[in-house]
Parts: sequence; structure tokens; C-alpha cells
Amino acid sequence: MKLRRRETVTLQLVTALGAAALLFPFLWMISASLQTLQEVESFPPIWIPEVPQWTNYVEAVVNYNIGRALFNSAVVTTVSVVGQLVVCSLGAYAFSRLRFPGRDAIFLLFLATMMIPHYVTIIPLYTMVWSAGLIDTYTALIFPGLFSPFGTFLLRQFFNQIPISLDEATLIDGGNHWHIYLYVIMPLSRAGLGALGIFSFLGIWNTLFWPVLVINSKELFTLPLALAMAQGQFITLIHIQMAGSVIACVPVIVVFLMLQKQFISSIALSGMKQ
Amino acid sequence: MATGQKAQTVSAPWSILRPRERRHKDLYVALLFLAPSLLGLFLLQVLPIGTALVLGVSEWNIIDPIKFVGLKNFVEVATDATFYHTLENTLYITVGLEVLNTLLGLCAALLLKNAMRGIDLYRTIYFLPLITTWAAVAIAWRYMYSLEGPINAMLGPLGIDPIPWLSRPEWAMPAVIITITWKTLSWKTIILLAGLQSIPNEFYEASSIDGASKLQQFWKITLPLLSPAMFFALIIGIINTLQIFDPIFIMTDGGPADSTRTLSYYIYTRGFQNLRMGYAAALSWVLFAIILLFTLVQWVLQKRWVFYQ
Repeated sequence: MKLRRRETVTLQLVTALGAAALLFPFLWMISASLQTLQEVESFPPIWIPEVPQWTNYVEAVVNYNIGRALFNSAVVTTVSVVGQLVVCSLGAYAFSRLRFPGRDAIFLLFLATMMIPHYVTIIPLYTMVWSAGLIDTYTALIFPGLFSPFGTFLLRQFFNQIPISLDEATLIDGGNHWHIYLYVIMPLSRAGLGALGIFSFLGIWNTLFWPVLVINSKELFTLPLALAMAQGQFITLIHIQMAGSVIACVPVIVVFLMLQKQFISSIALSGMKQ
Repeated sequence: MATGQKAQTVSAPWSILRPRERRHKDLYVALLFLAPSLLGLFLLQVLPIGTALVLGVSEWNIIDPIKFVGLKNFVEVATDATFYHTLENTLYITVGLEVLNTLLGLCAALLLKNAMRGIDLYRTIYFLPLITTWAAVAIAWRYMYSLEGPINAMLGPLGIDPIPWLSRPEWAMPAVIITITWKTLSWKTIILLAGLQSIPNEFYEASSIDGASKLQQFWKITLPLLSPAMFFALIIGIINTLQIFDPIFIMTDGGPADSTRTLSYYIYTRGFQNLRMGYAAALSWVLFAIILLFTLVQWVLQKRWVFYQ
């Protein structure tokens, strides 16, 4: 009994140590964001600022483009996530509930494109956006997020678990496929929509590569791009940059806390990307 | 979730129709439901993949007219010293990350499996790095790695001289690997945790009645039964590592002296810093081939170590 107890204490201790190590960069980020420039540049480093400089956040938002970038990220992410849920759920409905020639072949094509690495398609996509004169537009930022073969696949799997008898009942009551989609399938697929929602939210909110390619002007910077570009621009203002970084992380942490269960079970199920 | 599962369709009201009519009955509705997806598939997948094939055998700097050059790009890849250097870097980062992530991810999963006080909070903390914005945390790490930064300040009392983490070629890659491990560790943990939780408890109970020690249980029960999850995590983990971009863009830009330029980052360099779209496209097909080869080799080798119940 005594040994069991010692074991539990050791386990708890090791787990807590791991948690501390994983939290450290966040704590340093927050601490640095509240220091003066002099403090943040001093050696040895100051762990806790003498007087928390909350004005760093105001400064970042107002003077260093973080406010504008926050707005852009919010617009791009909201439109993309909602759009992706609509497009993917409509497509998944067709694959799950409708009968038409070539259905399985088309579905296979969807699956096959998931095997192609991002790097193969992103160069041609960039040239397409460039040729269409869409560099430096919201359209360029939003449209690649509207469709996802993975999302279509994920939702189809969820839809397939809903009993067909519910469809039949709707049809007998004089409904059509649109009614089944809207009043039967969608309300019963909240878990699936939540899972896809958080995946696409995290993916689009955090994405850096695509905005780096298609956006040049400061007015259209998303948050990750604004943070990345600030590197060269005000390289010595670590405290301001850290305030911007904290601002970028807060929304994802809030959404994650709300949808944690769905997120983790969906990773375990599908092995979605990092 | 079985991918091969056939979707059933509503059959009762149409059972009087002839088979051909039944097969086509939903065609027009299906076209409506599928239209946005098909448009997306065409614009974001089919057209770009087709264009990538054309670009691979062309030379194009975006401004001048595109020029067909046959297999010249691929011949150049085969003799490109930087390409081979980036391949070495890719191997380095992939092996480093897989070893660290698997070892630490397994430890974390074994810890988080236990019912202890505050476990929900611990799990949330362990998963935080995974979800936060790469750009934000990579900048923090960049400053943490500076010569007079917090990491060197903590190593000082241990008798370790300040390490030039990101400014020396021999240190830059280890630094990048440590950061990516911190960020992606919990992805491995989630997969392995799900694997651990699916091992029936009776196995442990039965073996401890037979007198097996904890260590024996780990080697004889946990590891073999966890191997399918580890295999899955290995394949997806490698595919993800082969496409890394954000941390390298923020922390090192491929340097110093190309020491952190992986193949994926080299594609970006050639395509978007040197505006050689054709050469970058050819490199991206090489990346695709490597991913395919890696996955196939893993698939063949799994028979030797993956144990399916």
C-alpha cells in the first residue's frame, strides 16, 4: 500500500514536471509581453516584470498592425470555416445518401487527392491566383479554405452512421432531399460538424505559408503573417512581438477549450495533420 | 471508420422502377449537392495537379512566357549539390523528430493514461503547444534561443557555456528539432494514448496474477499491442515532417549555411525566392515520390514489427 502511494506521488510529480516544461515557452511569452524594452533585453533575463506593461498590447494593436491583422484573420477564418462546412456537408450528403452513376469513382478521386502533398499543388495554385490578378485580395486568402477532400470524407463517415429510416420517414411525409439534409442529417451530425469545424478553424487561423505567397500589402496581413513579417521590421521590439503572439494564441486556446473532446477523439480517429 | 463501407440509399419508394432508372434517379439532385465540391476539386486539386505536371517539364519565372524544356529540370535535380544537401537535412530532421517524438510521446501517453488528481488540466496543458499558432510560438522560441536568452540563462547554473543555438550550423538543426518536438509531441501522444486505452485491462490483470513485473508487462503486452498505433503515427508523422515550413521560415530561413534547409523549404526557396516555378514543381514531384517510397517501404516493413490482434 505504501509503495502504491509512493508510485502515485512520483507519477504526479513527473507529469507536473512535463507540464511545466511544455508551459514554459508560453509563460516566457506572456512575461516578455509585459516587460519594458529595457527589461526584455537585459541579461540575465528578467522572469517577472517589475510593473506589468499592459500598454504593450495597446501599442501592438494600434501602432504595429496587430489590430488590423486580427480583423483580417477573423474575417478570413469565419468565412472559410462556415463555407467549408457548407460545401463539405453538401458533398458528403451526395456521397452518403444519393445514388448516381460514377459516385464511387468520384469519391475515390476525392480520397486520391488527399495523398498528394501540399507542395505539389501550392506552386500551380499560386500561378493561377497570380494569372487571375488575385494577388493581394481577400478572395485569394479565402477560396482555398472553402473546400476540403478530407472534410468531405470525414462528414460522409458521420452521415453514414445515421439510419436510413429517418430519410424514408421524411420522404413519406412529402419531403425532398433538401429537407432530409437540412432537418435530419445536419442536426444529427453536430459532433462531426464540430470536429471538422475545429480542424478547419485551427488550420486556417494558424496558416502561414499561403498568406506569405499571396499577400504583399500590410492592410491584408493575417495574424501569422503580420507576426512573421514583424521579425524584420521591428526586430528589436521583442515585447511588442510577444504581445502580438499572445493575441494570436488566445482565440485558438479558447476554441480548443470549448471543443477539446471532439478535437482529440477526431485526431485519434483520423490522424489529422499536426 | 471503414472507408469501404457502402452508403445505402433510400430504396423503398423506388422499388417499382427498373434498375437503370433507379441508378440514375438522383443524378440531378446529386449534381446540385455536389456542384460546389466538384468545382473545388477541379480548381484546387485537378487543375493544380495537371499544371504541376506541365510546370515540371517547363521553365517559368512567372513574368516571361513559359518555355517547355522536357526533362531538363529533373536532370538538374539529379546533379544539384544543394538538393542532396537538403535531402541530408530532411533525413536528419525526420529521424531526429521521429525518435524524440516517439520516445517522449510514449512517455507522455503512459503518464496521461493514469487517473490522477488534475488529469484533465494536465491533458489540456500537454495539448496546448499542438494547437497554438506556429508563427507566434516560433518567434518566442527564436528569442528564447538567443545567446543571452532564457534557455542559455537556465543552462548557465548547470555549468554549460552559452550555446549559439540558431547562429551556428551545427546547433541550428538540433534547436529546430527541439522546438518542433515541443510543438508536435502531443499529436503523437493523442494517437498513442488512444492505442493504450484500447488495450484490455484483463491482459494486465491476468499477467500480474501469473507474477509478471511491470517491466515485463510493458515489453510483452503494452509495446506489441501498441505497435499498430505506433505504425500509424510513424507514417503520418513522417509525411508531416517532410512538408514542414513555418518554424524554418520564422526561426532560420533555411540557414545558417543551409544547415536547416529541408527539401520542402528548398522548394519554397527555388520557387518563390528565386522565381523558378518549373524547377520548384519538379522538386515537388521528387518530394511526392519520396513520400510515396517511404510509405511503401514502411508498409512492407510493418510485417516485421507491427502486431495486429
